[in-house]
Amino acid sequence: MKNEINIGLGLRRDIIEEFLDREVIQPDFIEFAPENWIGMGGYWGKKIRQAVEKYPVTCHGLSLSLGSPEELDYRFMKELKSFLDDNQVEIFSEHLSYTKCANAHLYDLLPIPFREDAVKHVVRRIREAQDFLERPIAIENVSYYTAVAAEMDEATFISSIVEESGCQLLLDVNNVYVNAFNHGYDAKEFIRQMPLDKVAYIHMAGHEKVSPDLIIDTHGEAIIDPVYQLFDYTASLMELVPVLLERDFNFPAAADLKREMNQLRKIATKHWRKVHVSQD
Amino acid sequence: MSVKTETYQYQNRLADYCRSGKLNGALPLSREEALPQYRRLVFNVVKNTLEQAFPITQQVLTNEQWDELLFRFFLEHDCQTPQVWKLPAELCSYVIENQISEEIELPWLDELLWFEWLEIEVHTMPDIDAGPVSDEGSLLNDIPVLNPEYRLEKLSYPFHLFPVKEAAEKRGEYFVLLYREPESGKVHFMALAAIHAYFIEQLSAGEQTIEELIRDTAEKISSVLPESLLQQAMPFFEELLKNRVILGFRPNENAN
Ligand SMILES: [Fe+2]
Repeated sequence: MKNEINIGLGLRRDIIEEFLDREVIQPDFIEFAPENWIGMGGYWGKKIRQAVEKYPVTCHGLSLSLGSPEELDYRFMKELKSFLDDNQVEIFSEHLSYTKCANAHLYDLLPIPFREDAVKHVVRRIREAQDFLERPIAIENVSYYTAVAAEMDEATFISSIVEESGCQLLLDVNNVYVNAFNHGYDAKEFIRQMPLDKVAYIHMAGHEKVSPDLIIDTHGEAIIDPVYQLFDYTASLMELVPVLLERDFNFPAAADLKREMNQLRKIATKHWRKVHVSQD
Repeated sequence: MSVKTETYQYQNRLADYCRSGKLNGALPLSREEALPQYRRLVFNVVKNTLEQAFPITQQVLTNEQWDELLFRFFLEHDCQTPQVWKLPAELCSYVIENQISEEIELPWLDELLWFEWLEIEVHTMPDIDAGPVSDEGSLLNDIPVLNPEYRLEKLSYPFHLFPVKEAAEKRGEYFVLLYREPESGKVHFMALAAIHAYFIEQLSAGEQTIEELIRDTAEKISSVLPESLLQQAMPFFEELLKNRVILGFRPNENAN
């Protein structure tokens, strides 16, 4: 991805044809989870190869489980590495969470205790994974619904890990909004505490309010205005990076996704136009 | 392990809670009332994945049987694959290893699960290169190239022929071929007689022409003449060619 405004869209099986025919949506880049496609042949194997030929690619891992208290899974990392190499993946990101514990995968994002020993441990694992994969990893701030045995705040936890491991940050602005709402802190202040010079790219998404005081990060709704506003604020504080719209289910018409991407492009252009090398 | 024991225990307790729905021991939380969300979110991923993979099994079991099966599986089995779409294969093994079919007195359950998974497996398995293939050739005298993207299975219940309840009453010996059409990626089923399954096994070695195969087979059976076996079997091989189970013929090396 060149030094220009890039608005991407998460590639999902249900809407893959819209990515391939490019009639309505023409994202600047795509993102998908390697776990959903590694070793996939046949019909879907063909589809993903077609998509990779058409677009620049970022990959967003699910199962590396950087926050696990146990060893990294080297057999899986080997497969992951060749997949990332084969598909010319430009940025690889993972969640700052754990999805595996006591030798069992859980397939969802559990919150790591915000503690000093966990910081050191995760830093070591990120370095180990970066060395093995021979590429930087961008770690994503995740939504969490309760902190577990916390001894520091989330912002300190994240920024310590980024600083000490030398990794990059995938800043999910919707997750910041969700966490600020659920845990009663100031979203803008949180953004200011992030190492914004280490951001590799930004995630934007919708969420669902399941009760008056709890939001779940579902990726099944449109982005709400306060999250656009938080993105606007974030972009004003930092340099140009790619921005990705995540939508995992409850897919709207392609035109609606396009509208959301246009809105993101408008905000990005407002702040980052000066470095935007226009092609038209 | 490089986190402190205490941190390890907290992480473990949360993971255990997600698997069992029960919290064993202290877990300091900033929002206790939100904890059940984790059990719900984690279990839903597993449940949705397995329900998508096993629609027939889910339908023939009672809701209680199905829910109990998923609950026990996720609690007792340490999920090994990092790729959740491959998890259905682990449910198949879990049910066999723990003899759950016997326990709930549904002797066909192992095989029904396996049968449903096979279709996914054939649909998704990595592409296999069939090697050089020529469209031109003689079905009888050239070496046929078999489509390598297939599974040949021997079943005790004919799930490929009848609805489950009916198939469950027809215990016997059945052979079924599942193969992936190279162009569309679609999975097809073909019911086979035992001898046809044998033919496919032999052809997969890619060493014999059909004429040689028939001659060898007739010799082994001894009660049948090669000519009549050939006459009986030819429509089957023609069907294989038409259906893209036979992709074509191995090019003659001497011709190059
Ligand atoms: Fe995200």
